[in-house]
Amino acid sequence: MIRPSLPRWVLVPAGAAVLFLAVPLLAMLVRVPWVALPTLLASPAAVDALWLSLRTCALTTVLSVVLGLPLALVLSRSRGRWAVVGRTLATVPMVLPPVVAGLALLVALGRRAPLGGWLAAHGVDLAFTTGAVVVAQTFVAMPYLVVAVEGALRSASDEYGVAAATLGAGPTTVLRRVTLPLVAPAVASGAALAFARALGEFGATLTFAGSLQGTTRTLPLEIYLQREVDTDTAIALSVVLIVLAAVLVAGTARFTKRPWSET
Amino acid sequence: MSGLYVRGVVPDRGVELDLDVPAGSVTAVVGPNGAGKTTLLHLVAGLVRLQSGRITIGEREVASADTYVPVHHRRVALLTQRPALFPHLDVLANVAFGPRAAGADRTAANVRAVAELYAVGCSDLASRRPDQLSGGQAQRVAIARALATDPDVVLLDEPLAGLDIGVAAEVRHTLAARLRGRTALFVTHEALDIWTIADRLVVVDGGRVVEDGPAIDLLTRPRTPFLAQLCGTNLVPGVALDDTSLEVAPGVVLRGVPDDEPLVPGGAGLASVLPEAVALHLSDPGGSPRNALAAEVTSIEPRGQVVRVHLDLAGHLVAADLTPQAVAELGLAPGSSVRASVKATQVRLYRR
Amino acid sequence: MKKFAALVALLVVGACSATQPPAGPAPTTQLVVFAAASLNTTFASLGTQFEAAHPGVKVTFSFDGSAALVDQLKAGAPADVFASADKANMDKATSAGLMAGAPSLFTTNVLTLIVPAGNPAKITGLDASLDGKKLVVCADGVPCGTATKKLAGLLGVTLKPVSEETKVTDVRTKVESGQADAGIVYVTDAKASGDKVKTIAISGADKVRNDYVIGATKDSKQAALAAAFIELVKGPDGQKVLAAAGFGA
Repeated sequence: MIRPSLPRWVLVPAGAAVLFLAVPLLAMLVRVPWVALPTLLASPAAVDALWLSLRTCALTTVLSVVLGLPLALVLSRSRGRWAVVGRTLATVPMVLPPVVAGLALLVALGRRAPLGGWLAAHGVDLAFTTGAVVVAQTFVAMPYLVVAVEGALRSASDEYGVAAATLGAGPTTVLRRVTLPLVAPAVASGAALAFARALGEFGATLTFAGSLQGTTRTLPLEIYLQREVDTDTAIALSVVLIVLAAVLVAGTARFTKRPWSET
Repeated sequence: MSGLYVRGVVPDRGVELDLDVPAGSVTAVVGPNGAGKTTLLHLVAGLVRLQSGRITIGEREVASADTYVPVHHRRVALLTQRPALFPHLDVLANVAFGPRAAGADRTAANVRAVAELYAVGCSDLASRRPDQLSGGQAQRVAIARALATDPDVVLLDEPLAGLDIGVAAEVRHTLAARLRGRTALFVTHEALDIWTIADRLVVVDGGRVVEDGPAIDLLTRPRTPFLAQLCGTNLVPGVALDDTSLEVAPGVVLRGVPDDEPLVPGGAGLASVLPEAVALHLSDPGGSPRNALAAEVTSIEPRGQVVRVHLDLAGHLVAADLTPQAVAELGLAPGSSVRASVKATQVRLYRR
Repeated sequence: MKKFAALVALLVVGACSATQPPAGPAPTTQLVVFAAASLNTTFASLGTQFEAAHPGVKVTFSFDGSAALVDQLKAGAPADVFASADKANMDKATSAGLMAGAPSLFTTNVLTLIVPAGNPAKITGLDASLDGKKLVVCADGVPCGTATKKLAGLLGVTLKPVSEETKVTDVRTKVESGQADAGIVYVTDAKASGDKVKTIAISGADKVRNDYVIGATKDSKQAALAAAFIELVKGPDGQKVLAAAGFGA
């Protein structure tokens, strides 16, 4: 079918939008010291930062799924005022300025904070540890998984759950064999988004976890430091971050297409 | 084999349903839209809670004011217009789902699934994905899947409504064969479904069961406008003069043949006349023993090969099916005065 | 389409002019000063003095890390005066041909140890009392970190920080909040933290002085005003304000 065409003038602002988004990224690629790139990226600081980022982001993604998936399930079934409260709480960290997220974590889990003090008294001292990095990343990344999965659960029809129940499947069986397989693509794309968000997390980590090579200085923090010290290294590391983000986002686009719902 | 007893009161939905389905009986449920048919099925399935009353399946109480057996413990199968096959599982795994949920191991569940697929004529589809099935195939697989759980009660909510006419006919026969001897409630709008599949019939209207009896009796001698419409017949009430004549308005008498439940003189009676048995003339036709009554055309409705002419006959609404040619030759239009004639042999008279 | 373009133009102009003062008898001359972040408070107050002494002149500041400011200058940012927190960054600007003439030293800053108010970890100085405690310093490479490393070397102390921050203010806030037990910052930062922190002077801190250097840029169109501002900073009034903030100690 031939769709009614768009007015041609739309192409002008659309083109401007593409340029607006693409130019800074392309400018970065032009600025990259390509010859020195391998050396810059092979420095111990860069390797440590990249490796730390990948490790913490993987852990963050696992935590986001383990905690966020059940939350999405509960929210998708909730109605009324408490559902609004829950949903708001679950999504606010997405739109919080990163520094605010860090401050919020600090006043809750900092060494002087009640909860943080209680944890420290029980031998869990988060301050300046890799654990603090994971906490900060999970705080800002988990909402992406919750939102993606809850949306999929809400738009999914009840009919499969009803059918499964009438076939004798209890709630756990329905969840395991019907609900979760049906939203698996959304879980995968939500997890990829959470990973990407965690990878870019900066403000909350800086405020809450500190910055020490190999322990808390993730890729964005290393870039932030190198920007003060050596712009070339900062740009080289930024390219790594851009490539990783692009791969994740492109991967997400693949997941969102369900192989069995095309007819 | 379990019977089903329902006394379900749900004031929120304006429903107060009483029903007793004998074990092994397929009971068709008919009624206008919004009458409470689907609510009835959902009460039995456990998808709607009753506020008072009681539902038992065999000896098991599954619902009452303070009992609620969850859906998955009711041993009740539900088939709806949409097959709702799990899109991520192939056909075999869909059918094996119920036995697996009941604790069968994979092999036993698959053996059962193969047998059920064979019984609905879908053995060759076992490895397909639901999106590779036609509508009729999907509904057959859904039947196999539902019956693989050995349900005590099968609930069917217009399972043939979404299918093409030819496909529906095939699936209808499969259903008839597979439901034989089971306790089932079958919501439908089609008289053919009832004739083919059901042995009992209940009519639900305004949240109440208003008629309940053997399907054959209710369909051959419809006594309400709803059932008359379902059977596609005209129903004209009147007072019996004798067992072959019914006065349907002062001085207006319909003659017919007595049915198994003949008229009692002076008692209320009904005349059932099929629309195709009604002929229209501009003047009195005379001739053989006929009913020839004055009527006025109220509206004309083309229906494919025939034209349905709605008449006001002595204050009763009566439909006549004519050929388009006949309608044109008679020059019929709303307001036309006609003589409606029906052979006495085409009029069945029975007690109200 | 024309309307759309006009709207875009209007928005762009509107956005750009939003920082301009409101209409009226507005100052006609702008003096743009790029200054190291640590000069924020002192320079802001000197700016006010300067405006009072030069009617019709508006001083606009951009405070950031010295390295970031050099990057911006290289990228063509329109500044008249550049004040760096260290010589190294000023040298970068000079060798890039961005500065007019030789920049001059106008103040210094030295490092100090700070602990949260009340000193919960009972730190006594750059000594064994820091063992196992959470010390936060600036990262090697940024001016305060380079200075910290140099000082520790000169004093023969090995520091085991739990975090190496990019900005000295991040060291400060971590000590203020009690998240860290101790931090090494500039005297000026310690002073700015007020009574939220306790200052423990490092004996020998003056062995590593951070030299603050100021100069006019080559592309400045306000050479006279730029020179006047630099004179103010170097003169008695400027030195008084800087000293009050802890500079030149």
